[in-house]
Amino acid sequence: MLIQQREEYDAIVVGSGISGGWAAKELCEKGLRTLVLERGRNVEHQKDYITEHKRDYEFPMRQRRIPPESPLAKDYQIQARTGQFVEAAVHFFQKDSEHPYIEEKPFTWIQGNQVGGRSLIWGRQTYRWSDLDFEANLKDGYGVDWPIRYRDIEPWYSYVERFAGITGEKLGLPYLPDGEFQKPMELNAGEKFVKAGIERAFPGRHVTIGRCAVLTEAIGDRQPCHYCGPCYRGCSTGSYFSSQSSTLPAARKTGRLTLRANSLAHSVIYDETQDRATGVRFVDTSTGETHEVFAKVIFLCASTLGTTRLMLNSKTPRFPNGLGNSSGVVGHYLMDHHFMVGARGEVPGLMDRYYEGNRPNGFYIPRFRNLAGPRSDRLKFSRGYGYQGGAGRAGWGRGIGEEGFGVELKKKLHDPGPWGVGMLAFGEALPVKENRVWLDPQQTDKWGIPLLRISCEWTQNEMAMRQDMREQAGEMLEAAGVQNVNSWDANAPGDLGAEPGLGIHEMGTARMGRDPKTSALNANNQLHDAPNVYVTDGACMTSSACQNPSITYMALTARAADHAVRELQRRNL
Amino acid sequence: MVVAIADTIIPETETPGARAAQVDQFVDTLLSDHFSAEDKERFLAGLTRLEARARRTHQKGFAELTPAQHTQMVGELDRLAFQEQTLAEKPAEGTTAPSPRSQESDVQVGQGVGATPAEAASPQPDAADVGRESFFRMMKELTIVGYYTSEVGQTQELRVNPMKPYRDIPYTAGTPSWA
Repeated sequence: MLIQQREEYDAIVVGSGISGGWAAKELCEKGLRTLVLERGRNVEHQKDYITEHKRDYEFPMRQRRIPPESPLAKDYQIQARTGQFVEAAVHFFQKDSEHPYIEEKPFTWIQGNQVGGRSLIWGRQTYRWSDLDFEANLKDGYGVDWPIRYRDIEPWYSYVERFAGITGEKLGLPYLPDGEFQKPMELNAGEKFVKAGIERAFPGRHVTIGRCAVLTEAIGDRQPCHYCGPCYRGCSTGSYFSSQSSTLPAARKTGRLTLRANSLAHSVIYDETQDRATGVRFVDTSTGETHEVFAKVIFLCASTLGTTRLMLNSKTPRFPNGLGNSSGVVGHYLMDHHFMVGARGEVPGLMDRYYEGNRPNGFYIPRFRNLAGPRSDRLKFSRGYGYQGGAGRAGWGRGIGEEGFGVELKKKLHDPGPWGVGMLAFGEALPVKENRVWLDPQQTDKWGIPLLRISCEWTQNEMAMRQDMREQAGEMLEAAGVQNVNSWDANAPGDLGAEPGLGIHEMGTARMGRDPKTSALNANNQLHDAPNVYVTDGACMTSSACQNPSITYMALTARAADHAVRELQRRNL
Repeated sequence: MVVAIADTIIPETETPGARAAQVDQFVDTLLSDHFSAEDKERFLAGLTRLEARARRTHQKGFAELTPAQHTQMVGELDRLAFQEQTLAEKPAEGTTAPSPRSQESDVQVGQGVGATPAEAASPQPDAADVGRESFFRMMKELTIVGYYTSEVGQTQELRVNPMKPYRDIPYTAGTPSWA
């Protein structure tokens, strides 16, 4: 049933995650009456963080990871592939049984399904890009050239960082620009040992405390981190950045925000007579009714693949292949960061050192390969990677894998064990046309929206890079004096292990570019074909770099919202 | 029976053990709500074998045995469960761990070769009690997790890491680990 009730707004934002929250805040603060459509349930900041600060023994399964084989994962067969799917966070993941998709090749699509989206459960690591990243496509010929450079986004990085609150250490590296950092968190003794060893053995490589969107200094009502540890359960002091703690409250404060949960966008409404997008058609999932809402400007922030599916499903005579897809690139050039490769080992000594507090952060090793251009080191691969890791003393869990029981075992597990260190690489993936998503011609979800089919696999470049990621991880730890170093790679081509999507940095399926024939979006994130529609989530990414992408989505969204409002004022939209 | 095994793995000392931490309830919950049918089957079969062995050797159910007998029987299971680490299990450096299936076949081969006439006279250990996939590995993991995530384990045996700004601090042996 179609509800005919002409609701008009200045702006519609589809999605309330990291990008949608920023779009809502910026558009509302700049005077636009804004409707946010969120397909998932409503979550109220603080009140609905139902597992926050619970002790392990308050969970029936003691907060164990829930693997796909568990009966508890019955409705979450995809979500359970990530280690983040734990008992305390199940309610922040979508049910795959309700939102299925089709894997032509293994692709793990991890999704939130609530107001705030994945910003409630994200990893919070935030690293700026540099021109090494923005120029990579131009220089090695993969994909198309980014239509922007670092100078275009630099002030917007600063703008979003000051609001979000980023802790980190300035290093002065041109290829990993410093941000507006709050005071850094501390490395522990094991990490200091590894840092000293790596930096001594490899001049030019750095080990630094992670840069992350967790406060170490208050911002307004948001309190500094209290170091309880598991951020993904929600944070009632608003200490980590999420739409819930930060952007949505700011949008609400203007009095111009309307937020509608349980509202699954179906398609963008395109008026052929006016030759412009005029609104969004959505399904109220609580009633099954279809609604249409209208606005001057539309921001698609439904997550990379959510936005792409929505665009492909917005078929009109003008756009038989989906809204804004006259180029044919929408759905192609899917990327993710490839990871699940690294090394671990034992840090000798330091038995007189420990740590206190639960730090939601680790160390970071910035990229050190191909720093003068994507192929400058003449290796077997283009571009680069960084590492994230941490050190700690072994806990009681070490008793599981060793012989011994009784009083002796209990005595041994009473004290912390030896120091261990581990690190994981995150590598850049190339944009290739064959890695793509499209709509299944027959199958739909229960609301009648065609299912997405996904076909994506790592290219030769990623495979060659992984070899180096593994070797360098092992070499660096060994050179630092770490013992019993074991390097590993979980990738199993054609199978699960390190499959695309697992990095939860999927991006690229409606890329920005200079030429409307080879890209969907222009330098301001407007659809070339429909300038009052902006796409500012991961779909817009022209390349993937190797840095965690969310801070770049934030900056691009704030920049695009500023552009949209100026264009509206000039009556250009 | 589960209580008796768990309490042998983590006994009462100056602090309460697995029994007081109600590890058996945790095992029950996991077994009924979380484990796949296959794992549940494997676990229950292990309990049945242990019970049968207790009756064969001591003419009593496992739960009724003396602490010394518990220690002896659990010790035997613990030794078997970690035996393959020195025989077949050791993965070559840098390779991923072998699949459970290949381990099982390795174990059977190992036993055939290693059995001496003297050992053959005593009851042969069941292949299902040897190595990484053994019942006892499961039981030991459940006991350790169940105990150290219990309120007793976290607050009496160990201590809860406080909500304080993260710091690199000195440590003196004998101070409990963070839970």
